[in-house]
Amino acid sequence: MSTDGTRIITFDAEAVQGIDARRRFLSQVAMAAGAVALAPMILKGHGITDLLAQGTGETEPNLSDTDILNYALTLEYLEATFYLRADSGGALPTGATVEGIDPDGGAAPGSVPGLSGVTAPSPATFSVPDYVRVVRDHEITHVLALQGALTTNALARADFSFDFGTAFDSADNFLNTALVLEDTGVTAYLGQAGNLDDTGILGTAGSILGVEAQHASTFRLLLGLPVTVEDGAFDTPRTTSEVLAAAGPFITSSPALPFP
Amino acid sequence: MSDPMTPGPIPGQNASLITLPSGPGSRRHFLKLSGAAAALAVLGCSDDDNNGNSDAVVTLPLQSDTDILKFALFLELLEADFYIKGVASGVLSGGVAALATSVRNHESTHVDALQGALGADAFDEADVGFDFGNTFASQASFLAVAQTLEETGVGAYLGALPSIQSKAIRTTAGSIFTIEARHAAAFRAYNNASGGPVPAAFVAPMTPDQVVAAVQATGFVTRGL
Repeated sequence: MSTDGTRIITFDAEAVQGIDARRRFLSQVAMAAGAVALAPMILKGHGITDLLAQGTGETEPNLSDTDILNYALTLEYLEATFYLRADSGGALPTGATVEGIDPDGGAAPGSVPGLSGVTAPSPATFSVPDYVRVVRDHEITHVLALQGALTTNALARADFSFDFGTAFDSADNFLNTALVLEDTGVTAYLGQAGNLDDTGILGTAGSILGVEAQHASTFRLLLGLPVTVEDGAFDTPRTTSEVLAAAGPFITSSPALPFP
Repeated sequence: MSDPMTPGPIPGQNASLITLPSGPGSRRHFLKLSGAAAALAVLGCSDDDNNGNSDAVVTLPLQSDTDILKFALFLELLEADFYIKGVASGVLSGGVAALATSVRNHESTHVDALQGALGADAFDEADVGFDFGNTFASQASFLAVAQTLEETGVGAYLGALPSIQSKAIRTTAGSIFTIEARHAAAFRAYNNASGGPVPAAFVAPMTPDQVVAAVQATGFVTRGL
């Protein structure tokens, strides 16, 4: 019920009061992870009422557009690094380098065993490894676009470290991790749709959001899942703390974050 | 996932709907999604000032959040009707049939949500008409049209998002937009579209005029536009 959803979000908001951004991010991950695990069950079937309740910004202070863009950049850094470690082949988008996208990725595998054996579900015939490289380049393009928009305000990639555990050990691990990252990206952008003030930035963020949703859908198709979360008719906006709880296991260090 | 051979109930035709007593301004369904309706109530109502077409349910230019939601409702009614007929046609199989059944349910739910949000400004299936011609003669032609409709929906929602004044409505429209984007990628995949499931790093917005032109170009609309 929506009351339960509100309680969980309130719990998150109270938990972060009075703690500096970095400490609250790192320390809150474990507790908030429980809330995130519950959220899909609570939200399932309640549609627009919950969406509106979350979209009003009542659950956390409105972030500035710059903060929101850095929040997006953090998630795009995470995604771009993930796919570059899965596939380091071929040319990167103009302006990007392996070191720039993944400065601490010296031991990254650069490939995923078994991925070339994964086939698209009939009647689709697209190449799965080719698709993964396309997604990689999309995420790198998003990084470049956000860095370009933020200029000197951009958080530095070198101040983050990411660890994806066993995600690159098998095609199944990789695809399932990709799905988590993409579905999380969708909820993150949606959660800020009501907070962006600049309509130009809103349009650009929306055009990235749509692509994250398309990525998520395609990974779901490859995994034999419904293309929407729980086969629902709405995606769910999430707060910064919910999103960072979902992404937190992959982030081993970060700069002081201006959110949540 | 739904069994493609036994499509589930269509949202909007089940017990989650409550029909209000008849009377002025209350002819439409009222959903339990009352949060949306409440948020939209502050928008006020505007009578239709038709664009010359006596049966048009949408008017360009879009001048308010209500206008935008009505435009969205028209597109969702088009999509819902397309998938209801497509699933019922019996020409779809396997993963395509399962996807079409899911998408049918999603679009019908979007119709419900938009009608609930629009309240007395809403319209319904009786106010629009669609003829999909030979589209359901084969799975291939179904897929081609499905891709076109979803991509048009994606462009339409993205184009409208920055114009939505209410932040709550903007978020809700965004949460429908991403579902349309998910549909578009899946149909692109099954349709083996050039460029693959996700052809670009950015989705392109469409203006309302571009959306109307794309919809008119299908030749499917017999009433409502």
